[in-house]
Amino acid sequence: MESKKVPKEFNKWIKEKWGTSDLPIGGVVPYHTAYAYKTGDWSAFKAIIDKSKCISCMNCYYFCPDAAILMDDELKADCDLEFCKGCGICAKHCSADAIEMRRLTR
Amino acid sequence: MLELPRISVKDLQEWSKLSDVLTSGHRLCAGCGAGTMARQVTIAAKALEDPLMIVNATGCLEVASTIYPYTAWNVPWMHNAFENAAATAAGAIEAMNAMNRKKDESARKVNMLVFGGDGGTYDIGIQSLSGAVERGHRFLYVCYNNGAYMNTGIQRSGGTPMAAATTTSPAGKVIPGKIKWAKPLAEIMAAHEIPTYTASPAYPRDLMAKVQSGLKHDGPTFLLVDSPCSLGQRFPPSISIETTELAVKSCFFPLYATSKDEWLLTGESARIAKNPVRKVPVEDYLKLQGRFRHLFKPEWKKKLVEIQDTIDDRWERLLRKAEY
Amino acid sequence: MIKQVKGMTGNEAVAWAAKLVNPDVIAAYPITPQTIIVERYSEFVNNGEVDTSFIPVESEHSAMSSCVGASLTGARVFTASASAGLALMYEILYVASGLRCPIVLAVANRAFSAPINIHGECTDQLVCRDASWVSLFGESAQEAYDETIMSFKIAEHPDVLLPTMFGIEGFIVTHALERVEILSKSEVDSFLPERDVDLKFCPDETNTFGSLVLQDYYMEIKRQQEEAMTNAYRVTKEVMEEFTELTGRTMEILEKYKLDDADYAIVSYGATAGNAKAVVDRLRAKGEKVGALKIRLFRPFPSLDIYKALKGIKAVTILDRSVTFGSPGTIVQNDLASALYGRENIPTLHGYINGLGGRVLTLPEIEEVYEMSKHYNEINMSSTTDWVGYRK
Repeated sequence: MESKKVPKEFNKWIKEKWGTSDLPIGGVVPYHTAYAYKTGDWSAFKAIIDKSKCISCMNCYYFCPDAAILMDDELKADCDLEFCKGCGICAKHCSADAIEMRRLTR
Repeated sequence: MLELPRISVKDLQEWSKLSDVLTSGHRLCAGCGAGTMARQVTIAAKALEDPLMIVNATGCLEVASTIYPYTAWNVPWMHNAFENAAATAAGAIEAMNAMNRKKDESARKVNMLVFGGDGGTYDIGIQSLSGAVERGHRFLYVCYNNGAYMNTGIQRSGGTPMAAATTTSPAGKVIPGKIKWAKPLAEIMAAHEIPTYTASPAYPRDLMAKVQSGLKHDGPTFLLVDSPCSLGQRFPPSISIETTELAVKSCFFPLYATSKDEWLLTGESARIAKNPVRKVPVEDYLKLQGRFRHLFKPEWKKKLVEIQDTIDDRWERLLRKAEY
Repeated sequence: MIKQVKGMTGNEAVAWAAKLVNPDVIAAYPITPQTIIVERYSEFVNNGEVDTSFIPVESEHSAMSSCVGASLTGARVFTASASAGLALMYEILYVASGLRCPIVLAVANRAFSAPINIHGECTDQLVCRDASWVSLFGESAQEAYDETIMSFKIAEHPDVLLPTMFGIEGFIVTHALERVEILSKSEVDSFLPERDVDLKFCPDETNTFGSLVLQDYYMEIKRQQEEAMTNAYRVTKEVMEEFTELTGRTMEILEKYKLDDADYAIVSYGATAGNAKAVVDRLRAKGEKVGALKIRLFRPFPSLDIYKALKGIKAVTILDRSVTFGSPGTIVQNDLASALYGRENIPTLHGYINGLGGRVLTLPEIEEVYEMSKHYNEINMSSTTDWVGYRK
């Protein structure tokens, strides 16, 4: 699965809590950084996908509000647990009944 | 002539290889329709040749995607204020034109997308939008209508449908929610003689075809999207898409494209026009949502009938315009 | 140096100076007494004399909004407004400075409604003092011309990157025909090089502009603005020095007139300063030891320079063509008081609200308030504030 990472420099930015003299002026953020904010812990429920059933209909991919569905090289869907908020839309609209919302305990 | 590109499942598969425009890690609610809508719109735009730039009005999408220092936008993106997204985009477009002109470069085309919610478009931003459209700047304005000021806590807007309960049009003992219907925004924009579309994220291929058609047009275009909101319209997050699907199937929110008196029903709405038995009662749509729950009490039965009558009347008129 | 001279109104001077600057974008909406600026400029555009994209927006709110959108792309941007129009822009003035857009705004200073009035008064610009805009006033068509060109250089300086407004009083300056020494295109081009932009809104960069910034970072972003404002003080001085070299006309943040040996001073800004200097001459002829101080740079407020100029003066008469209600003093008097308080050898301050809605403040009236200030000082009264030039 493709890893969703932010540039190393940004980790420094948030860890060191940059101040007035370091931050880019005007509040501009020069590249996307939200990958450093994991929304996967918003819900205990996660989309668990049975890849063997996936027919690549793309419903889950285009209905997911969070870009938390990743298609692999064979165009089979995977759920990105780091970001899945557990809404359950994908499970509801899966053409192949391949997705189950399951409570994951950590 | 109105023509929409045909988008196949194969296209959808191909486009999943594009890098995300709206990335994971944004903080829209679980099951948020705006997230789904924005992803579909931006993927369709990204699939086109020219680079994509976005101006976003204040609202849920803007706030939840750019909580500093995090931003979920992997394209040039700008937010100015609530009521001025169209004017802001106009400034950016004309600035780039002028700078190209000075450098004697042939105008580099960009696809300018503008996002605004119903508050930012139906109400406070309509002047700026109408002005920008009159002047003819080249952009696609996408209004994602979730039927209230959701970001500030579900207050009624000019896009709130009749009888919907909001925090400023509550379901009271004497007044059952919002008194009047929403402004006919798509018709207002169509009256500017620009290509105007309606779409629902329940039908991604239809929505994305309209985005691509709008962006290819040499001038302003407008897309109104029905955007479900689990928090404000009050339903479980998992049925977001189902809700907007029923808005289309009940003809509460018909799908069409229009330009200069030509009206083209598309997708499920075209199928209903050809085969009216597909049309479902508007109650099926309303009953899923907490904002309409009060209408199912015996004292407001009349209101339900009134809503169904209005929807039927509008649908009939739309069918006539589309020459069915 | 051979000076080229032309007869121009204040508005025309702004338009012709802007033409030499040839900004990438002008987004503007008509309002009296600013209209001639944009009318003239529209002619330049439609006759192909400039490359500017002129955006004839549907409101001043959209004018400033378009300016922000344009400025973030790295473009050079100009607009003009007045009174109600400036008030309608007010929300976006803060966005423009917060996003660090070096927009230049010409203000044809005009009274606020109600009652509706189209004539000169500077309240409209003065109340924008907290918007983090560099703010200048001009006395004449010549200064309107000069400040148009200098404003771009101040605003776009990498240590500043703040929007800049300059004001000329409605009708009194905007519509009065005066002698203006003009510059050539090449002189302006060498004075004002192209904008050098670090992060911009363009297809090749993925910048996010206008994020939601909460408790954890908001103060740092605002503090950057304060530091830019501090820099603007130095940069404005440098730009004015350079401009003085270019034109041979002395241009300073403060204009001191016969202050060196003065016991009393008249402080003003804008067109009133001309009358103040005339009154100083009349009073000097009568043997009064009086001088005048004109404030050209209102934000950042040049506190120390003002203290140095007024140190040792007994009493200051402040002619303020603006109004504030229920305030301890006039708008400029309040700033003067803050700038001087606690320092040694400072004058008492006597503020006079005058000239509202274009009312003419006559030279005898200025003499009268001068005598009054002097009298207050002699009877050991501390600072005072009053209105002058109205019927009781």
